[in-house]
Amino acid sequence: MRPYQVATAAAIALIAAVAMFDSLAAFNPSAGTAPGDVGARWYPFWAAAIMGSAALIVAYRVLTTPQAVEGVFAGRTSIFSVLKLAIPMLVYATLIGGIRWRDGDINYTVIPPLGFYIATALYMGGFAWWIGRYKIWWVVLILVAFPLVIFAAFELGFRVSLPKSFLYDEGILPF
Amino acid sequence: MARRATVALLATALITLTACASPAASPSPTGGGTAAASVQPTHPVEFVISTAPGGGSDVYARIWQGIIETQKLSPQPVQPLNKEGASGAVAFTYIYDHKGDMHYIFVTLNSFFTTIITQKLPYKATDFTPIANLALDPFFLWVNDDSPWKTAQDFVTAAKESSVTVAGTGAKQEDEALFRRIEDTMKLKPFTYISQTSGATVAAALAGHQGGVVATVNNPSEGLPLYSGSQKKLRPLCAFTPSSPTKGVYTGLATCASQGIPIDDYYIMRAVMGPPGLSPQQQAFWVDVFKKVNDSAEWKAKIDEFFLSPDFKSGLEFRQFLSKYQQLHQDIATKFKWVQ
Amino acid sequence: MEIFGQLAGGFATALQPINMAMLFVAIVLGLVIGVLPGLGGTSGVAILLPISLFIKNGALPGSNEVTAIIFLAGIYWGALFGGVITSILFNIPGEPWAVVLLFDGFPLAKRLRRPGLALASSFVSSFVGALVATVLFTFFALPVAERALQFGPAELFAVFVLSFATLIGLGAEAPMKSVAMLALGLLLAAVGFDTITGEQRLNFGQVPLLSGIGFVPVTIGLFGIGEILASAEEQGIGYVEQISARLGLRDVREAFVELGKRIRLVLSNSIIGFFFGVLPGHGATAASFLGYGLARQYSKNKENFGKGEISGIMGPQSAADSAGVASLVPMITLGIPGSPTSAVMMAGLFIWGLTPGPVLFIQHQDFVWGLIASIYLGHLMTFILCLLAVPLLAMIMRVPYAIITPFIIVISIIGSYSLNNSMLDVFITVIFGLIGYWLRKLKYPLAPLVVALVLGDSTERELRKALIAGHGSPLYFFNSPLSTLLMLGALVLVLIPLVRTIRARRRGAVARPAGVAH
Repeated sequence: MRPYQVATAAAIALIAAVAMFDSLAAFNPSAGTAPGDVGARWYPFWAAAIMGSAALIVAYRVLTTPQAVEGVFAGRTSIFSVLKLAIPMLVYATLIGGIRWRDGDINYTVIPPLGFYIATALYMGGFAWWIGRYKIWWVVLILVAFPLVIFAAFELGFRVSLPKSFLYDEGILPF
Repeated sequence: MARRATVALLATALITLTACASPAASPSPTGGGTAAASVQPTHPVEFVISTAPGGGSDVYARIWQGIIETQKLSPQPVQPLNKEGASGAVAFTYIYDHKGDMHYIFVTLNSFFTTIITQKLPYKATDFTPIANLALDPFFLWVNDDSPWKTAQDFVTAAKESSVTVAGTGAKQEDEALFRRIEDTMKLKPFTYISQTSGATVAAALAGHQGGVVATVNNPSEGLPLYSGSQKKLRPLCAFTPSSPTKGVYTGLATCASQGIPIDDYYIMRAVMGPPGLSPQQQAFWVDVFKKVNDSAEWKAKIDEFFLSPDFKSGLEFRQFLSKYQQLHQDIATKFKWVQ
Repeated sequence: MEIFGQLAGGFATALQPINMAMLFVAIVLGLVIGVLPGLGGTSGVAILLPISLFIKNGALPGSNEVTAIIFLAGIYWGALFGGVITSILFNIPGEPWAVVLLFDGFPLAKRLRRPGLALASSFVSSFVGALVATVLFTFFALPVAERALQFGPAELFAVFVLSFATLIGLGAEAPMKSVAMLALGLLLAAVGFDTITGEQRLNFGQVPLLSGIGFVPVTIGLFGIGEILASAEEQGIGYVEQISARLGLRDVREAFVELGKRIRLVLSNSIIGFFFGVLPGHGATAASFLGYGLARQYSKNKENFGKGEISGIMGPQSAADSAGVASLVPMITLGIPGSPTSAVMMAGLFIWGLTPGPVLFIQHQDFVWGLIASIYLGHLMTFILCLLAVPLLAMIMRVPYAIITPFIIVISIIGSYSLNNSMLDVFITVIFGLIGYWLRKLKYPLAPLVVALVLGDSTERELRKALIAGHGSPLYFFNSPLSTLLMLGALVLVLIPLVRTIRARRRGAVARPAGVAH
């Protein structure tokens, strides 16, 4: 447990240090536009200072007191069961918007945005197939039904727009 | 319907899988590919609003959207979409990222100039495609009803002696711009300016003397709830317009120019713009839609209700207006060191 | 009494068949909107604004502007009740004020396996809160709204300090970790655009970060997704199969008994919530935290909080619902919205051609009193609908793991996206899901982070506005009797537990085992 605790506290302290560095302008004599205003950076600076100090104290305590021997995870299987959930989730979130960027006037596309509906179909279907080990009919039903119901409720019912795919931009699909 | 969607979904799942399989990064040209061919929207349009639901320009955007819907001015639905944050920077950037796509339009007010000037943003106000201005929203100078000041001159006299505490919407936006202009023109002691989150809270701050606020420059419609009736809390001293209002409860209110503050050319624009790079045809489609909105009876009624100055501008005229306001805000920003 | 006559007239208006029908439709819509992630009362009312215009223009036989406002308000009542459902069942806040229900509502539903009781407790306390607020609304709307106007920056800052003070001791097992999390919350709240000076901060030049890090995406991540990851580790059994949802209203009966035991807390929180809701711009969310803090502060078994304590549901929920009703008071009486949702309703009034404010009370009596009467009727309707739905809702927790788990992630993503239509928020949710899972493993308390993130922004803003108004003098906080009183109250609240802990520490220092070993 100890290395994890120390590393986490150190990470928090590092974030605090970055934030404090970004907020150094708090000490400019001209901070704040109106007389009496402490300026935009004062508050984040001191919040970060408190956070950093608290993290350092946590790290110090962890290093100086006896710690439980067991690790953070109960065992290999528990790490895998978390990763089995976390990685598809990250992939799913990435697929919605795709991977693309713009450099000047040129757009680069590695993965075109699949939009919310297609990504959700793949994600829910994939999960039912892989984790649930459902029969293919059930997988197809889940894969179709959930995005369809969400589409009906959001796009048609309440006219709330969720992210669309590149095929929508081309005018091929309604989502 | 359901079956068609199912088939389509399966088909796309296949297409997507093959699309994912091609690993190389491939540059694709910018802009909506099919947009140039057609001059009307082919799927629902996003009408982006840079304030929260219920905020100033939100009301106008929703009124226009309602008129577009009821009169069926657009072949595709126009959906209001709030992208608030950072005094509009979030909304402007969102629009900017949809270059050349006529399915994105947005309602603009003066923060369009001030925010782009004061924030480090990768575009200029003139990059966007102007569509039309529908009205100008005047400013009044307001005081609490119990204030000893009867005219704008009393206010000026007091502000020359010591710093007067005033409130307005946002920092370095239209309200502060006007106050700084007054300060500069009349050689007053710098105002103690307290930024509030919306026009209604600005009026409330004045009505409750919150934080010692003694004056605001609310729009007539923002001040109205607290002005009318027996329990009147606020009172306008003057209007920053060339002539006195001739309709409604404010009839006969003195102009500020007549009381010694020579500012009569500053309004909030209630305008619509599009992303950069719209083709003339695409621009013309929207100009036509908003011209019809402007001519509708509903909008005419709202102009009176909200005490707006009707002022439809498009094309060159609107472009000239935009560059004039751009310059005006640029000057204030430079003078008061709003740009770091 | 003139008021009773007016109220009777209001009921006569509200009870017209068309008004009752639209109220019912609105409440059902509101409940759906509240349950759907990311569609809160605010966006729900905004979405249905165009429909209200049709209603007002007489699209339905006999409908007029009273029908239209009853319709919009009904959506709000539905959303107020419905927003808590996903908080309790999936650890995903449907509405900002339902965030606090993550602390105890979800643990009661999942760990103690009583989803029905958790839901029913929240509904009964919501109902009491709303009822108290409506009575106060009926009799004291105008004078209370006038008083609320006097809350300037100094007074509001004192109110926020007061809310923070009631929450002292959250996560007391690891005080330094709590402090770090609280400061992290304050820091996250500061990211983006500073509204006082219009400067950018902590966004490292990124334009999308200018709108800041919202607390809804963060809490959906920390709690909703964090919890899913944690239960995946428990081999996926965490959620479901063990909860035997009983069809029947036993949970509802029990909730009433529990309410009886806490009636004083619920009533006093409802009254406090009302006054909080009247303060323009602050409303239900802050009230819910204050309600939680008070429930915890005055509870005999503080250690149960965070583990499924019913007071931790009823306390905040009564305050939040009461504040939700109260946020209409300044909107109707002064034309100043008390909450984002009432801001949209006010936009509705403008679009229909009505001007809110004192004049409304004189020129449109049927409108105002019809609305007030509909608040009573609407809440009664919502309450009955919700209670009947409790057994069905509790059944959701029996859906198989391979469906419910991705489904919760899907609705988490919709929820964070549709709040601001921003993919950035989706990634904030996912990343904070991982962070939340990790922090929970290392026993960092998450509640202080969320509280600071929710209240931090407004606290800083009011503090700085007060400093500007007072030209930098801290004495400005004691400028008015009201702010002095509030400040002293906050100081006392901070000092009492501090003194108590120090004393307890001294006494317990000998007996305490070394370190945090377990």
